[in-house]
Amino acid sequence: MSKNGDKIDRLRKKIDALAQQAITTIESKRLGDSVTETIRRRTRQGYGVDSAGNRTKLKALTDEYVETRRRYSDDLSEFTTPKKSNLTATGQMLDAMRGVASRGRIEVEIAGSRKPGLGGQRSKISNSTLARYVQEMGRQFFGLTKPERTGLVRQVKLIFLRALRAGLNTNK
Amino acid sequence: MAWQRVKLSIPKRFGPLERQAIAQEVIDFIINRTKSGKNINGKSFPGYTKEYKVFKGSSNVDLTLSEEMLNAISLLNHKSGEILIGFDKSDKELNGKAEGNQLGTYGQPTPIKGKARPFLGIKGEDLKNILDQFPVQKSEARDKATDDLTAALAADALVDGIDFELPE
Repeated sequence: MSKNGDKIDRLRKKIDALAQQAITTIESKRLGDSVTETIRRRTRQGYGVDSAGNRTKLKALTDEYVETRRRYSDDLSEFTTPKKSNLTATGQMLDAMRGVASRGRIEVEIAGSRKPGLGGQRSKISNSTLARYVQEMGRQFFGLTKPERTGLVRQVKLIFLRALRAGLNTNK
Repeated sequence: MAWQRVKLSIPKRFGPLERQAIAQEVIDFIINRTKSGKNINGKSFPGYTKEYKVFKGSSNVDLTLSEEMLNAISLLNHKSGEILIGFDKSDKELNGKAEGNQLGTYGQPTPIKGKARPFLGIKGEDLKNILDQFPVQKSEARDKATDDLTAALAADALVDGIDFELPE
């Protein structure tokens, strides 16, 4: 291997070891939850994210659906209104996003099956399936915008820095 | 609308690696200080209007709604004895937002009295505190800068590894 290739290989190993040691399952869960909270907050404000990481306004609701939401407005979450397009009716899907504890990684998921929706309507699909459906219908939300990603990188960098300064052994 | 950036003088003994690491520390400092509600000089920002508090859902003056503006601050350039920090020149929207806060214009042609929230910059003594963390010995300063940049690379790789695919 060339001298530069050698250096890159050493750096890659150091980075892997750093992630394995500094991102404990507790830290992983905390970071995953922080990611999902960021997505939840932005989505409730009515914004999604496109594949390039740009923040995009979520498509407006159809007139028919606004009417349904008006009819069952008592069932609506406190975070929405009949006209507001923010992927929130009862709020179950966004509330089902969470971090997964996984050493050395950040993992997020949309968990669980759905409780009755507006008007007590029963549903057999999972929150994850619903999320996939709304994304396929043009309301992409499950991801990070560029600034959100930058903020997360900064948060993680501080964890790694603390670990490096505490003399974590990454010379494996 | 002017390009929002700040040029900081640093000792010429710092090489490219150290300059990048120093810039990252300065940016982190600016973001943390702003999020704590303080301006460049450490004074509290003027409060938001009643309407804006309702819109934001908080009275906390931290220049953070979508986190877009603060997270966009980056190292624009560096050379011996100098680092340039600020917003990408081509992003007119963010430069406009930042200028509105810096001067207190918020879309108006002239500043609104008492509403300026200068955040893009660092007091001399705060910069000195950051620089003091970088050892005078060149090799030690380089080690610290290497740690800083390794942490940044590792963080980038970890975040890149997040899978947002939803299972079938």
